[in-house]
Amino acid sequence: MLDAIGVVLATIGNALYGVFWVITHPVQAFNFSDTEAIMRLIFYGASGELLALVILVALGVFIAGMFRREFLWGVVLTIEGISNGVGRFAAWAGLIMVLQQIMVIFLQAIFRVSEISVSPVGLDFTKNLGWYGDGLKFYNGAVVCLCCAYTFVQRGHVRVDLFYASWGHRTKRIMDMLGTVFMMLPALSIMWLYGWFFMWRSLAIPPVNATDTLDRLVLKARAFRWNVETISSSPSGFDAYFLFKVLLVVFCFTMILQAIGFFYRSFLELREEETERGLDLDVLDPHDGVATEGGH
Amino acid sequence: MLFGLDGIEIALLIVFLCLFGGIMTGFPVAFAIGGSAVISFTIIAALDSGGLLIHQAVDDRSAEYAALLAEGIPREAISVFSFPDLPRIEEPLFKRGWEAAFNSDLGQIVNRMDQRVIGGESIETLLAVLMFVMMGITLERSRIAEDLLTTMARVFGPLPGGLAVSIVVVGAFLAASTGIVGATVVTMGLLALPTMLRQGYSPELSTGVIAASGTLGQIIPPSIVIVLLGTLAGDLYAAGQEQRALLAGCNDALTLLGEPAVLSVGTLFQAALLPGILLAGLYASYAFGFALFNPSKAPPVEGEAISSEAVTRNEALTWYLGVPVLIILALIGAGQVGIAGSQDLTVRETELSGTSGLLRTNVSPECQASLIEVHGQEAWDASVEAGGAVDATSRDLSEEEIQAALDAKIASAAPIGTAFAIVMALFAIVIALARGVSPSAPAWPLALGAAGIAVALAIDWTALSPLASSGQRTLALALPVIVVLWSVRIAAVRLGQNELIRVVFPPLVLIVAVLGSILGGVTNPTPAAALGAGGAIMLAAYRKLKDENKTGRTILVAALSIVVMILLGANFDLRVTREVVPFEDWAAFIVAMAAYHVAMLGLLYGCWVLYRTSVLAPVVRETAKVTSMVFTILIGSQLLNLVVISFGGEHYIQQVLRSFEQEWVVFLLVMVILFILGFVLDFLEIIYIVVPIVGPVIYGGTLDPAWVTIMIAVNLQTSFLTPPFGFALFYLRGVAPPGITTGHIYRGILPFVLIQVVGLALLWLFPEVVTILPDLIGK
Repeated sequence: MLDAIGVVLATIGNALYGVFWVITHPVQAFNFSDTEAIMRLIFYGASGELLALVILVALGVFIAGMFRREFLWGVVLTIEGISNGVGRFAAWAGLIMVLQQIMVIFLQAIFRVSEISVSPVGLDFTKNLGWYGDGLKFYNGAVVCLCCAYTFVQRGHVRVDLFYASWGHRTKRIMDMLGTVFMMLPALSIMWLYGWFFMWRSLAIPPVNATDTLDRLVLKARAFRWNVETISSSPSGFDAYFLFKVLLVVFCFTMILQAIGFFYRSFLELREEETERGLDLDVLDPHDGVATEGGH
Repeated sequence: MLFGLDGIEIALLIVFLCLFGGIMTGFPVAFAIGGSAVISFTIIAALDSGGLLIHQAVDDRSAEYAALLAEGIPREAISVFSFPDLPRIEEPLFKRGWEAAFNSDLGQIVNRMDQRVIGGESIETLLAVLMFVMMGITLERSRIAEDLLTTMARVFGPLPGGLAVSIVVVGAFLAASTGIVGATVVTMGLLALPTMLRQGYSPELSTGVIAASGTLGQIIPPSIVIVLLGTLAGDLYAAGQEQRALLAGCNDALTLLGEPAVLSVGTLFQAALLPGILLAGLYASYAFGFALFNPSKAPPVEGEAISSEAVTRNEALTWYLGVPVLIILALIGAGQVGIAGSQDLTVRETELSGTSGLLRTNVSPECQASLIEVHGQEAWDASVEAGGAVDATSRDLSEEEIQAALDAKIASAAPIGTAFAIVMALFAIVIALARGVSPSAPAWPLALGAAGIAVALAIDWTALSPLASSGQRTLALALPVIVVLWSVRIAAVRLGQNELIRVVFPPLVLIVAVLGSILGGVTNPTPAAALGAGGAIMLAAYRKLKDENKTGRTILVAALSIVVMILLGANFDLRVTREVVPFEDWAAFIVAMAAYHVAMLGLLYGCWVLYRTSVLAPVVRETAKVTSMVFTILIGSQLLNLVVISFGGEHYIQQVLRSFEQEWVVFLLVMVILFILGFVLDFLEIIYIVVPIVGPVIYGGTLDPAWVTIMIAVNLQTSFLTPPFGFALFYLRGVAPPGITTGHIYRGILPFVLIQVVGLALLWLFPEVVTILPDLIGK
């Protein structure tokens, strides 16, 4: 037990020292021509120190927000604004995907071409048809990963409200807070932990693992070389598979951010007995239209 | 050992309780699943480290185990359930400690996400989800459901229970075009429910029939349930059959089955069509029967007539039924006697010498026994006699052989091509219907069109040999075809004056285009879904323009260009990168390219119209939300699945299921479990949590995989209807008028849940309903 407390305290101390060190040595910390700096970034990018730091910052904001609620509302609305903005932008990838698929199927089935050139203002961009077909996955991935937080803000994720619907305001908010801390954040943290190294494995060699220690990574730094993954499952397929791994990490990042924002919002709503304050929900209930224009 | 249970059983219980507890907190399901996975892993790891969870595994170092292996029993078949007397050893759940299990199993989560959610190979089918969702939402916004409802209510209203029947018809129609349960139930609940109540329909029947018909979209293709389930089932079937082949002593599933173990979503769509129609029929007959016995609770409703013009019964019978049926019979007859048929003169320049329908005979004795068991002694003997199946080889044919094959093809080619005959038959039906719609309008343009069809067919039969090039063919047929097109245009205008046809036609075209291309095996579900979404956008844009009293001609021209392009593509070789390109192909290519650009620009124009009227952005956003929600649940379920794998739970459940003697008992058990789970879980969770665990067993046997999948799909459709957590009820409750209580809805849905059970029983007794269509189309 004492050991565990010791480890936690050491991690927190390390994290604080790390922040201090980065602030005082910004050039050394982000000098990416130095492979050891990259390896340090990789290590601390999914480490106990980062976790401690995130928790400290989140707690700090939370405690500050307990006294200055307007400040916390500002944080909540900023986070939700980011989620909404990213999601509403990325949603268009779905339409592009449909249009591109239509283009591919026409050209493939009717003209039986094997490649498509797009050359606006003299820039020639020629790719095999398989590239266009395989690339559809990227749009789908973008919609899935980047719109998830947006969907969360918009209450688009299904709830089983068998009991939830019958609970009072306070119980709902408390359950939401507990759910965020004990279910959502742990699951997302695991995905971040493995997703972060997964992404780096697709960007550079030698392969890095979640179990590697800092010393081991620094040792690997000597052999460090950028090696961006371009191989797809089919020979002429989409050649930027690393983007899927980057999407995974971005998914975790946006969702963790949104989870923290949701925790704050639930807390504020618990204290203020008010819901949906400042919530930027899409106004798109088509059935308002039906009700008003019922004559159709 | 706690409570006399095996460690794995306790662990499974912990996962189960955590999952239910997590989901019941009302936290968004996707994260409740992932979160409860982590919580249960933590609890199990803590208990296991404390030495509280002991698994009684079979001791694979014992002499008895070695003896069984020596008897030729494969390792996979030996479990504590099949051989309970084997010596056991006690071991912890995480043999190498929980840290190792965490790292090697839970760490797989990112690979799973990458492979099964975002970028893997099986994702190609899953891409159809977003496109079908977009298609459905666009159609919903273009108010097609509203039009259908009012028109169908007028058609069926005068029957007893007619409004309820019209709900079923509209539900089936919307199901075939969109397949989104929420949208369908909400629309019908808002528009039809108040009318039904006002007309004296009982609240129970009204709510029940709306909720049930709304869920038809989950079974009638294109359905998202089948896309999701089918993607999973395809993998499970392939893996399950491989394992079965290994257990049977064969090298691979191809050897054992004599055919590749493949289950495509396209096949599943074909298989789902008849069961879907069967269910719709059952709903409608229930509504009709209910009305016959309780006339006061479902009275007939007199409405205004559909068409302004009086059509006598005789005329209606002749032109709506008699003539079209005759035309179709003539088409089929012509195909049978060889007047219409293939004119394909392509001759392979290489000969494939492979054998199909034969079994491999150079196999081990165990495999031989299994093959005889699966295929029967006769098939085995026949294969041995024929020398067994060998891998296909190819050789180039000589010039004379090619010429001979070509001559044979010319001799056997039908005088009229199939495609041409079908197109002409369709035109003839349009003309016949137009005659029926307005008998008082002058008949000569239609008669001229009919004559044109006759002349065109006659020219093709007599004057054009199958050798004629596409250019010659076009020139020879141009004049009569132009006459026919002119006549069809007049017919179309007349048909457009009929409200029923005007309302049913646009979604019908979409349905025929999307379903036709999937069912006919022309394209995969994904491209078909994209075409459906594009079509829906153009349809919605056309409606929007009409609402604004603007001309929708651009959209019509674009739609026509698509038809032109497809016809040219089917009749000419448009590959201009060949070494020698005949002039006619160049001409066709230029026209087709122009048509392609017009079509794509028309599509973009449609997008612009919808964007300008602020329809497109909501559609795109809503699509993104639904898609993201579905896939996030998939992500959460992957985490749970990995936790269940990490302590051997998945393997354990599969061994239990495998230990049953009879396969159908296992399947019945699984179906009952799914049915019960349906009361509290939603189809997505069931597909992603339960099916991967039980799938390898139920897909690894002799049951027809398409039948298994459709049975599961119907079962999952029921989960939409079963209180307390039935999606359809949930949506309906949200939009129902104040007088409707939850009690009404629950009582109303009960008969329909029973109908679902009856439907499942029928499909169980008559599996042909599922298999007949794939068999027919496949051959």
